[in-house]
Amino acid sequence: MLRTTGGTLLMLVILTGGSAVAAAPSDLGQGWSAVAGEWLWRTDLRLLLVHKGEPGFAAATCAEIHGGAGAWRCAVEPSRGTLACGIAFPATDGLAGGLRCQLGGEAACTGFSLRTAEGLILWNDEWAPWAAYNAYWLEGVVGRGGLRVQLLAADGKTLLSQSPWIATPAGGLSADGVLGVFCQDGAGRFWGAELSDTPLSPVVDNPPNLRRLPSPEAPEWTVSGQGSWMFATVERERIRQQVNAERAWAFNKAVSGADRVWRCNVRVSPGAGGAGMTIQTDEQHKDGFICWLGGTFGAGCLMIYRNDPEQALWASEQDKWHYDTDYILEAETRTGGIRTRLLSGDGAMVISESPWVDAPAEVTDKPGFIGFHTWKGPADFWGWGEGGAAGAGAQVASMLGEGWATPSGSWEWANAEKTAVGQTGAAAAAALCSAIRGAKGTWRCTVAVPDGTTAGLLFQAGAGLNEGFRLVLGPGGLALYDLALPGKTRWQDVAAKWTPGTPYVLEGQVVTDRVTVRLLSADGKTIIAESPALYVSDKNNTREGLLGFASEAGPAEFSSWSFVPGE
Amino acid sequence: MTSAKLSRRQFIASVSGAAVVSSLATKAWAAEVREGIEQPVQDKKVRIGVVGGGFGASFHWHEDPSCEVAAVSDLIPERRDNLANRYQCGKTYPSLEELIKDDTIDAVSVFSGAPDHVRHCVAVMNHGKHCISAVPAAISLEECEELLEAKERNGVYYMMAETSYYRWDTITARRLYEDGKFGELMYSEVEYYHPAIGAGYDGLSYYQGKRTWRYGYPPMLYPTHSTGFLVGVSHERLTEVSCLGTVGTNQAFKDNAYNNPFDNQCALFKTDKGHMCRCNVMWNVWNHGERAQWFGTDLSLFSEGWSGQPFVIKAKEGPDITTVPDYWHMLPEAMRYDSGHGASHPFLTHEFIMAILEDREPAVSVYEALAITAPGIVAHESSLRGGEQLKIPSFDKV
Repeated sequence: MLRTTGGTLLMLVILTGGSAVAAAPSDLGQGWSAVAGEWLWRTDLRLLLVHKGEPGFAAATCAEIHGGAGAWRCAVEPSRGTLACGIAFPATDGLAGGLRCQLGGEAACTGFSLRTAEGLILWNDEWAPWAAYNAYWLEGVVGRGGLRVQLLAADGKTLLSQSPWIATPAGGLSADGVLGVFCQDGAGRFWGAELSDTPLSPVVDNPPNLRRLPSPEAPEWTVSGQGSWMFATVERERIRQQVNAERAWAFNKAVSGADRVWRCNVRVSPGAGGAGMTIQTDEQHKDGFICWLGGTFGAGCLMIYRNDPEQALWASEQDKWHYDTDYILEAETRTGGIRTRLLSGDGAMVISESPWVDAPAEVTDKPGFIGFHTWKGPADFWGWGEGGAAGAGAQVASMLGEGWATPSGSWEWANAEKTAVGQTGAAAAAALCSAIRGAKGTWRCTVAVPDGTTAGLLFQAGAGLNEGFRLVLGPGGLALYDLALPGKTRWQDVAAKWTPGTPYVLEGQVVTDRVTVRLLSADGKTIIAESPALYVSDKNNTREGLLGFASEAGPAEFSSWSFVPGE
Repeated sequence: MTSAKLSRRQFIASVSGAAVVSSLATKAWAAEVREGIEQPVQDKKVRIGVVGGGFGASFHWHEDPSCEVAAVSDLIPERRDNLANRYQCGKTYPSLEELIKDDTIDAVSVFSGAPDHVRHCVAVMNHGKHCISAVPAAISLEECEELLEAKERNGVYYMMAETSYYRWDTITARRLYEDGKFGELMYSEVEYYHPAIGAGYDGLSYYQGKRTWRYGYPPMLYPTHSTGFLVGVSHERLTEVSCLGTVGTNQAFKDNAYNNPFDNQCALFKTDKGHMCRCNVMWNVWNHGERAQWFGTDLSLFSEGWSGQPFVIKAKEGPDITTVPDYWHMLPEAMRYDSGHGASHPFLTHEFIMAILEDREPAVSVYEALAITAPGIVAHESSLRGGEQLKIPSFDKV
């Protein structure tokens, strides 16, 4: 299924089925009246106005939120199967007058749109992403002589779609209408309705809806399948498939050939079943291959498939890729063969690589272009250009050799026996030992931290350094950070007694649901400081990570690293 | 559910400060609720005392804009210090019994050992304070009665901090149930696996060389991480049970304080709607996690599992949904981070505080708590009787 361009100003008349409103409103309390359908109040941490979800059109209005100009808004959480839901502003005569800003709708208008009460579509972002039980802010801004609508994520800050200023429809708008909410053929939960002087977002250049794919401004891109693709950044160097689609493809004809190396960066979003880079392919993804991050959801394997007939050619072990982690996918073809590898996002570590795998020469020798594929969820791709993936080749050779990744800093072996590692630079530095891998258990290293430096142990760390823990010793004492919670100190003992330059043992113990950290004397016998058992995300109960070292603001030396599995 | 209108009136009446009242009166429901997401709902804050410096230190009281940690307590000085550090609270008491005498405290979080929960919670409520307790609510039917009686006699609010209630797959299942998307929710599989816990070699079974309450603890007396997955979604009541257990070979299951021989237990419950629920609580199998599978006639939801089972909603109509919705927006911004148990801790924290401020029963009220807890107590008795099918008493309001 190839798409038309979305996000354009439409002047279509599509009557919303069953949108007639009831004549006798019933009092719901809180200033609200039911115009049509069955509504109730429900408390779920906050008070929600809920439409129960019977078929047909349901609406409610709040007489206490009234006016003309301003930013009309409400948060909505659509339910599974709901055809459409939204806000009406400034509504009159029930919802017979005024405008509607809605999520969903009939075919080809299933995204985010602005409509008149009669169903005239004034503006439509066909591919605006939304999903059941996620929350969104819908906002209609009425100004002098014009109006605009916008869709924001639940945080009220992340802009998802924004219309341009649109001329007020003929006949004008009421100067004293009310706010309404509505659902078509399904349930919805509403809260936070108000008429404000200040919109949640000002007008921005290049809003997300102008970056959707396909786009006449990016003719090299085509898409197919059920997904919703867009340039994730205004620089347009990154694309994102952003919905829970079964299968979705995007192709870039500008990157093509055969008998070559193909690269891209990839980041798979939580919940997705897999994502990958297809190469030497065509718009029907019949030709070529796909290098695929599949297998176990969120902890799966690297695979090579031939596209058609679909045939698995090779697969790594599981637990090679994780959600929300940057990777580089690399593939190389030659006559009669293909190979692939998965690298950490900075190119510093080879996580998995295939041998050369036999493939029919008629496939390997047939030129085609690059494409990207997602299954059951979102993913981001970038670095597809002829210049190669970001990070690729930058530092593939680790400073410490095989079995180590040195994504940042200046690392060297501190002795000939390779039992001690030194970090000599002044910038923030990290090194990971890919040979030491585990989850629950006791992680240790010995570190000597000079005055002014902060340095310590990375344990159960993800290859992208976005999961796991960092236990450091420095001017701030002993501190534990959860790599999944940037900027947040999980525990700190500023009074921990230690002497710069003296070796100490840093220890992290991971058990079910909890982490405990300790600072010990160099012989490991005397506990100098110890945290309580700290509850952490239970994702850490089974997630495998690596041992590593970190330092900031100066050099440090590390030795005697170990991991002893526990529980 | 509590009448929203009534609760709002009561809420407004409790507000100190005319400006806020005026704001509520003019802006009505909507804007006021939005304010509640971004900043304190009102000037008044709930002053909470926190008891129990282990698990009790993993909650977010100090980050809730409507809460203030007034005092902390633990019998063990190091844990008391831990609480004081965590919540930046300089006022400490050597015991719960001392803390509850503090008239400036509105509510107390009780995170002591399971066998002490009822004794501690009753003491808290008898001092006219609201109470949130770690799970389970009780470990005998007599304790269930005692807890319920204390709550109702004192007219305070009680909440059980059952983490499954706010796991995000459970929130989604609850939404689906409320919206009728399951069709009829015929059957559920609810399970909690925690290898080694309760065994003699488990670190939690000892503290400074002495046995803790976890030593040889019966799995079904810790049922809430499983039963909560059903009761927390459909609010059904588990009415009958047949339960079996495996006899533990570890010494802890031979000489414990509970005369408990079982290290794993599996119960089959019947609900008041005639549905079935298979419930596992196991300490001695190689499996991890707290999860459920809800099977309806039109739709089923499968939690993520250690075996590789992804979160997925499968329905008769429509594509599979594999992405868990994001519910962080339900919380004040400072509380939006995962501190364990499926990110449920801040949700439990905020719900208890909001329930007090809004003068309503919390989501896991004493009635829900006992509907989640008592079935495990009876299930344990069933397994002691070789699987005899037993009826489960109700602790609901008559």
